[in-house]
Amino acid sequence: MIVCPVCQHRNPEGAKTCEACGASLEGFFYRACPVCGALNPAEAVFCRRCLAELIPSEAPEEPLPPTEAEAPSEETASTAPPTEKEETPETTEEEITEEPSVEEEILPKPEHPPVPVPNPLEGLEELLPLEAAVALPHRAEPRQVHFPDETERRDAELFQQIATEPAPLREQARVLGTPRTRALSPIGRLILYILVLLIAIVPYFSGGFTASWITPREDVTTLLQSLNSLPQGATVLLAFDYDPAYAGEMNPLALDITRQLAQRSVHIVALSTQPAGIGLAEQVLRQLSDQVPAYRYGQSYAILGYLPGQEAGLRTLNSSLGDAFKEDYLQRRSLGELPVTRGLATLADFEQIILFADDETTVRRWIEQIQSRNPEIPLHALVTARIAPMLVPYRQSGQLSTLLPGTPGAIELEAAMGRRSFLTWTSDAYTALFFSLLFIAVISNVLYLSSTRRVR
Amino acid sequence: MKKTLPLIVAILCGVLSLADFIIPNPQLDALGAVLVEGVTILAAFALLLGLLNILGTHVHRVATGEGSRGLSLSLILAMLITMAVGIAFPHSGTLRWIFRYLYVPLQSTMTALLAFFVVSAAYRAFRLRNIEALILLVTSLLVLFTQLPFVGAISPSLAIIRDWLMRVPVTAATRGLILGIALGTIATSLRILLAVDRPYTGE
Amino acid sequence: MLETLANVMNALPAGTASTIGTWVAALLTLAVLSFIFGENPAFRLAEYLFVGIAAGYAGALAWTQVLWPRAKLFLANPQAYWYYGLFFALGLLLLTRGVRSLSTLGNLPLGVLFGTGAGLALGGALTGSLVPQIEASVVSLSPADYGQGLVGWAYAIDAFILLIGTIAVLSAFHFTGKGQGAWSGFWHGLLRILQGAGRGFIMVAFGALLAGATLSFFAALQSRLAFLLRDWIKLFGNMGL
Repeated sequence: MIVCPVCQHRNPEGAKTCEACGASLEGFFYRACPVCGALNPAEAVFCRRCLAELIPSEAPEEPLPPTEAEAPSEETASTAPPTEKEETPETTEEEITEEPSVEEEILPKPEHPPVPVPNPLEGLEELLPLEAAVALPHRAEPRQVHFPDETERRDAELFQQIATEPAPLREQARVLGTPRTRALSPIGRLILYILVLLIAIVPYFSGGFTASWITPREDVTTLLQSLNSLPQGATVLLAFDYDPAYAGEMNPLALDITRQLAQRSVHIVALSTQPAGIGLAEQVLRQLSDQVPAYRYGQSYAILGYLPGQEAGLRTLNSSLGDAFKEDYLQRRSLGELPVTRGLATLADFEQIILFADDETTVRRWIEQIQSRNPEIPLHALVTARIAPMLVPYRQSGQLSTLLPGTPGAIELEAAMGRRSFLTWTSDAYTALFFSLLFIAVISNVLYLSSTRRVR
Repeated sequence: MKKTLPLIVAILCGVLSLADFIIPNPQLDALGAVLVEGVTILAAFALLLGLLNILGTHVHRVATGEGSRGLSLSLILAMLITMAVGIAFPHSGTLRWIFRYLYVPLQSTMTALLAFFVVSAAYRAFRLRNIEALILLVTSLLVLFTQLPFVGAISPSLAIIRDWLMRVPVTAATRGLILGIALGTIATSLRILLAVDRPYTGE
Repeated sequence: MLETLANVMNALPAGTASTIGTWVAALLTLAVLSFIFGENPAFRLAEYLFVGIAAGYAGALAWTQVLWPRAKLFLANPQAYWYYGLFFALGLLLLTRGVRSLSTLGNLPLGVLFGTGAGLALGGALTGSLVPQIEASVVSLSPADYGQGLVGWAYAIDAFILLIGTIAVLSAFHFTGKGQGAWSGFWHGLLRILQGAGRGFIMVAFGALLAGATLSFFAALQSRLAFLLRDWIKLFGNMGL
């Protein structure tokens, strides 16, 4: 598979130009990680996000989602409703992608790929945190060739029937126009990109137009109350489980939280289950130390370090702090020697756990391995806006004490703490972003409908 | 023997860690703790193995001239220098410098790129091709709007809509997904514990 | 050599390292951003550098944080820490996966990794996700339990939507075969309606995820632009430009 660098469209192996937007694909190859779905350069052996083995050279190719070239095989076409056959080749070109639902992964794989249906998520799969839903853990191993039995064959037929069942508005999709009308022209794309840049620099000109209206949501006040209820000298465990990829969103949030804790003389013990999380913890806590000079390493806070092993790592942490960390990160002293960690043996010695995360699997792991065994310790999840919706059920069931998306969360937290920093000004940019997307939705549909009419 | 031993070990380890999860018993706890700490050591080795693989691939490229030599060479140098600094001077200013001025800008700008692509992807996703696209368009715009930090000031009912959206339909859908994922995880784990799947033997 | 480098860096006037760093970071930021105009050598170099640095950083941490402290303990007191020795031996076997002719030796440590992982994942998914989430779905549908009048009804309807939505989404990706007879036909029809509703609910979640992803990516872009416009441009000011 070659993912188009411009529009993210998945093209079959060997394509020279993108089928959707026409961009050149020469010398450009990406490989999707079978475990987490991240895109990696073709030459990478290990996934750069999760370090899973991508494809060992001797192993069979990862079974990729059906591409345009392979998907409508003769057999599937013959079982498809006649309406599908009427599709013009041009329509097929963009409309058909893999169904990004959990169905394919959980079901026994039908013998033939189902006839794909118009997919409103096309091009978005790579951008949304759906890996867990579609990839875990079924995609972890290359699939074996599997011959379905009678029941599975029936299931497959049923799946196909449902997958190809025309939805009310799908009638239009079949008569749609040429690739030229559906793909964005280079000029159109350039205009969109300039628009994105303009939105991003809005706060530099608007001067925090909307900042004075910011009202903190319920979870912001709940979190602040919870932090303010901590007694002086209590210890809180902070997990910096995010990558520099989301440092822009998470660092301000982490700095706000640590500042609030420092001002209340609450001790912080930090760790990360991702290597780069340690670097970020150090960055944030050093910045804090500069702002609150009385808050010193070893006395008031410490960084324990990096904890590998995913479930096993967290399980180790759950049994004993000393098993998980032999020495601290910055001074390489045993935990008994540092005043702040002296006397900490298990998780029960922490008043609260605050988790900064950019990946919903990580949060789920913390809930499953740590929270389920220590329900009495409040677990706050401060996460990227990208994964927050996936975690709402845990907030609702009370397994998470608070759930805060980073982007609006950090802004509202600043406001709730009475600070009017540049961060609160960025609220203007998100307002501009909303109106621009609204505008884009209108333009996109006007062009789309007019092209549909023209073809008719 | 080559295949039986890993099989027995995998099942034993699996049963032990599962029993430790379910049965509260001090002896079992102690044994489980040794096992999981050992697994964190193995995980660190797995990471090193990954590193060696990348290194091997790119050294091979430099030697044979496959792909771009210069790029592979820069990757190797970047890796070796970072690792050497990280091991020899773990908390030196030099490692912090690499992290702050190389690692963070590179990775966070790669995410920033997605801001451009998500907008052009939205341009296509927002076309009302079917009822599902309509639902997608309406919810994403509504969520985007109600997430703005000041909607509560415009009208308290907007904040209520935001909370309702998250509390009811989004929770229903993601809870369905979470239950599906949990069932999938349980099924996959059982297959490994019952030796139906043996990923460790490469089968 | 590294020590000399560190000494040289220390000998430079204060702020030199951060000035150089800001320039390097700005150029790398621009190199990555150049990708919006398409693939180019600058982006490619940035990408390779990133993979190298990330891998090197992770490797260094694995050594200094996990392996070396335990190796020290084992070497100092092999009797007390015998199990570290055992797992280090297994770890070395794991490294043989990199050599094709020896790679079967790595099966044993992989068995430990997969077996333990499966046991923990199973226990976790069961006790941390499946049971609590099913418990949370079991709620009263009676308005009387939620309050008087319309408020009670509103909450009861919410509870109903939540329950039906969860079941619909689950049914949207768990199938049963088509059976025979009238009852089965009715059941099949019902299931199809439910699955249609499930797809609708999934699209609502995707809509929320799309909105969230857009916000996250914009936050990343904002932070990079803030760096370029404030930290980097400031250097021009310092130079009197």
